[in-house]
Amino acid sequence: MAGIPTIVARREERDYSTLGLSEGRPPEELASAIKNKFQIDVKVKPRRRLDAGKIPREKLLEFCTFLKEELSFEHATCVAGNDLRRSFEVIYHLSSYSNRCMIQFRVELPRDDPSVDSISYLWGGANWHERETYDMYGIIFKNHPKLERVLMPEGTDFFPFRKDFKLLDHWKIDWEYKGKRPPPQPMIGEKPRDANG
Amino acid sequence: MAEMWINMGPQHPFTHGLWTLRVKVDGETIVDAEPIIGYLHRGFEKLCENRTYPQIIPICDRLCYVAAMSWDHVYVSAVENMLDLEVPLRAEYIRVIALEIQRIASHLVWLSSFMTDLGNLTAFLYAMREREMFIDLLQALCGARMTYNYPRIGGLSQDMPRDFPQQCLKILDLFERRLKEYEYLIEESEVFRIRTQGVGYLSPSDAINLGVTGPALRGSGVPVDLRKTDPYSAYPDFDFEVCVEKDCDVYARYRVRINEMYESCKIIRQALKKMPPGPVLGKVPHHYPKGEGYARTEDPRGEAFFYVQGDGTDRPYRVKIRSPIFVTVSAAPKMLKGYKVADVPSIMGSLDMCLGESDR
Amino acid sequence: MDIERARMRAEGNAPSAIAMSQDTFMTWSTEVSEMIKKRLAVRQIKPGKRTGEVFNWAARNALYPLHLGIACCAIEMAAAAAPRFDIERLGVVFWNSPRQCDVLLLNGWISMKLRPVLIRLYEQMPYPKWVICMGECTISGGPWWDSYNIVRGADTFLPVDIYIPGCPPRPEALLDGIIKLQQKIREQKEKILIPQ
Repeated sequence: MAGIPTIVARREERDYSTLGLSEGRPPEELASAIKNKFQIDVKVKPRRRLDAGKIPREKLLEFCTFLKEELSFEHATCVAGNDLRRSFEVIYHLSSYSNRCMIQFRVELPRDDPSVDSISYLWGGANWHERETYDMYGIIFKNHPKLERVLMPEGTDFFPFRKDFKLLDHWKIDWEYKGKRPPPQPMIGEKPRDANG
Repeated sequence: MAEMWINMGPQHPFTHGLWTLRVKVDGETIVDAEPIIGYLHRGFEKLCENRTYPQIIPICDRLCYVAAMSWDHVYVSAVENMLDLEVPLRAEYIRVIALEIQRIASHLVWLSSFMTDLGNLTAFLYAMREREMFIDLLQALCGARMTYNYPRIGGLSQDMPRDFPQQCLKILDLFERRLKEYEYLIEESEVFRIRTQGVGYLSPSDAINLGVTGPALRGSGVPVDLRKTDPYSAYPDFDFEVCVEKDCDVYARYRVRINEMYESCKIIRQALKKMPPGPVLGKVPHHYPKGEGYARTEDPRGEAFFYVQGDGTDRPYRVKIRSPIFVTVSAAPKMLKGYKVADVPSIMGSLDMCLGESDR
Repeated sequence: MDIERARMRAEGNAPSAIAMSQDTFMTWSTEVSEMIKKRLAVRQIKPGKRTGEVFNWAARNALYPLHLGIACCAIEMAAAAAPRFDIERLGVVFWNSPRQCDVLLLNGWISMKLRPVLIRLYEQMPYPKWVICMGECTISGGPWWDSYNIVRGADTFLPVDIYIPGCPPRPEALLDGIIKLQQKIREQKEKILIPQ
């Protein structure tokens, strides 16, 4: 989709007093609705879980809009990044309170162009999850309102969760000395503290 | 009026964790807000890739240290889903009892810190005193006050002591009587009512869209409780109500948590009455095949979710944690706009933040 | 007779608390306040004499830590302030402003984002000040020893006086640590005065 998508118009307040308590549509019906529209094979697992496998990244926004508007998946549980050694991957988990089920799907991204559309215009809850995925993996979310680091300190130039960042290599990170070996850390008030200074 | 950004920095007199709230104020009114977290980030998910599956259970406690049992439970459920393991029924019942005791203890910590922020130091002392009783119960179960390391993949590490049901029932009777007194102590104060009623409005559609879950969502009139909407463990066997309030303000969220404490007492009584005999540890896996599994539970703070992907070795390939507070804190600016700077402690206190799980 | 005994105690090495009679105390305190009024006190009072003991006694029985809660050990710190373990009987009151605190009580793992904040807080505290490391994470990194974002031990950048091991240490262990700090201050009695 070209350009920045418009923010979904807010509906007037409906009655939420039975949300999450009524039965809703069975997951098989949701699976067949997705199959009819997108030709994606959706597996139905026990305890009302759906697994939609891999979605091509061009179709992501259309798929998510369909899930939100037609099948009433109101809640974005999680957006996770993953580093398969030859490509990146983003794993989405969405859940529906009216139909009481959860769906999982993945989007695979090439290693040299890890970018995908952002779904934070549909679900505001995915906003900080996408920032965190960018922070940890370097995956760019297009049209995200504020794609900055959220957990690592500002000015960090590496992405920690990638598989080529080995944990015990961090001994070599120069946090303040940018490329040079840091001097032995001076203690505050190096001399033993004494009343006379 | 000149607008300026104020940093309520990492060291602040609020009693909830280490984070910075930058508020843009126009005089005394808040125009915008930006929470900054990350002071407790340790790369938990990366550390998990360096540890075997059972070795992750003790460090899962330290994710949200106030509600440690529920994070142990989520992780162990996710691995059990990945392996399709059957957990014995007695273990499920004891897990539910431990989870509900943990819920009461966690809400008591929230009550004491919320009241300290609002200036009611008596409630701080009373709530911490009650919490000691429940921590003693959990210490009888697993040996530690705060970081339990109690569930195992396939069940529990040990059975409960023989006099545990009697002790538990005695403490619950005492607690329910005292909680009524504390409610009266807190709510009769006009100052408390002015500070909490009508403050921190969050409409239901905003709450659902922004991903808020838990007592903050139920305080806005949406009756979603994962123990009823998406039941897990032994919860379908018990009869309890979902605590909902329609007002969408700080007072509503406070009432939701107080009512949840009463409901937890109900659940514990039912579980102790119906406890089945049997083993507490099922078949323990020795080999973790390739696969993935996920589980979500109703943490005292919202929806906690764990996704585990294994690649055939004895260490996981990817572990992803969804923490409720990470999302609720991102929704905080919505609740702060339009109110005064003096309302910040009561609004942020009503969200019950425990930054260990947010920063992972 | 009392004054003689007091003078001997002053010139010798009086090991325990001051036990002056009322008259001696009145004479002594009038002398000290005169010297302070004439701004002679700080340079003329030699360490080891009675004033050192008075300041020492006051400092160790009213230790105000900073109200800083980082992680899990902070909940045990709050439980120590609760009625069951009651840290206030040792004179310990948690205080919000770093400019008026004596002790920096570190509880919880120290991440790289937090390290400059702690250095700033430590520098804001006036002398005499002490640092207590509570819990494994501040002693050596704890369960997060192999993390990329954790400082492995607070003593790499702050001078630490007392280490309290445990994960988390029980509130009784925290009380024991405070008592050990009080004993450490007592042994250092000459060095308690404000440096020039």
